[in-house]
Amino acid sequence: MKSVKVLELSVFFLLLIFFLGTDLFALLLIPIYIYSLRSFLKEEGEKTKRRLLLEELSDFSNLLEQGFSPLYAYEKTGSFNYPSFMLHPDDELFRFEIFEKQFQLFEKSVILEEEIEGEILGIRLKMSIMKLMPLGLLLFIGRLLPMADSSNLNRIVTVLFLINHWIGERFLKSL
Amino acid sequence: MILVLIFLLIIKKAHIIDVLSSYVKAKRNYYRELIFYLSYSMDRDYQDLLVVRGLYLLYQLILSWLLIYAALDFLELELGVLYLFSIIGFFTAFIWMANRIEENKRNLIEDISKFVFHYELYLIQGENQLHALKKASQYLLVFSSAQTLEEFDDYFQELFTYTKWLVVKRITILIERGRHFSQADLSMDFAQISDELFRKNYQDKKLQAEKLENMMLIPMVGDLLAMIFYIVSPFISTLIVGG
Repeated sequence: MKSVKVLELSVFFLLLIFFLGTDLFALLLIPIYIYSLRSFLKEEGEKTKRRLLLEELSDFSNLLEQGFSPLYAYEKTGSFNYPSFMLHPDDELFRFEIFEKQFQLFEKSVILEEEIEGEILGIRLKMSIMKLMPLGLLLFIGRLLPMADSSNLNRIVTVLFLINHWIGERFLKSL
Repeated sequence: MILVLIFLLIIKKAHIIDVLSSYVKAKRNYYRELIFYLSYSMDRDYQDLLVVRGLYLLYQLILSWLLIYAALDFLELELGVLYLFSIIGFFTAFIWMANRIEENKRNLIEDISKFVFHYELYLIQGENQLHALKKASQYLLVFSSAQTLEEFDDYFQELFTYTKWLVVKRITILIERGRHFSQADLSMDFAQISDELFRKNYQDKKLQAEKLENMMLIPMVGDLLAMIFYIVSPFISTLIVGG
């Protein structure tokens, strides 16, 4: 999923650069590409952190079920970055039942996220194809239509594609 | 004629809004769910305030429209643009209202989930039922905190009349059972309610994903239009410039 998105972004901006050709306007696409890639990787990093945290909490929970004390179990799992929304094992009020409830809720929210990701994967793939297809066609058509060889026209069309790309990304983020 | 109407609207502003808001309040039962989801509150006074504000905004929009119409008519300018903007404005307002209702439904599911979670948590921590409910109710923004168990029961019954969600009914049953049973005996009820809220949340997200699939047609159509624009514009410019 991550690699598909990176590939899609890279191919999209590469096609736009090919489309613009030797126009200096193409240089503006590079910072936009870097920014889009960076924000996508940052988002994916957050999701990976949540999954890792879930694994660590799961190990912690297993140790507690085996009867170890909260502090010992926490140290045994490597004193990971304990989430602030849960009672710390150090806390006097820490109780296994409360931790279990909080852990179950966190687990459910991560599972829900993954299931929704799966659902929208199909939409993302369709969107990628529909985004790259017109751009690919444009490159082909641009060679056949000599009258279309105008840098202003190319720039306008590039901006339109970028606007549509941004609108699509905003819709996907709104989920 | 238009000027007479504008004059009447300005002179009788308070009376018109008063009559309209009395009418809406009298027909409350037809609009109660709509007003609830738009206001996200069960407080009748706040709902009435929102209705009056909405009617006042509508009054201002109608007055502005009539003034612009009169001005365009006086200057003998094209009215088509005004009609076009009116239609765009109407659909924008409609979409805004629909989005707000959907957003408030999602917020309500999340708030109820937080409420149930914290209610169980405080019971586990040893709080008595009323204290646990009072503390948990700070996460439920639709109603102000109740002082007695009966009030909580009444609030949830009223919430059920607005939402028609079975899970809300289960919560009223849970509160009733909480008077006679301990938290350990209610653990199955809590688990069932949490599961139901989770499923509701999942269904809501799934519906959003389906709506998103349709919304993705907008940028896709935009790309195709950009392509058509690219193909057609050299021919158009040739026609305009004349070879």
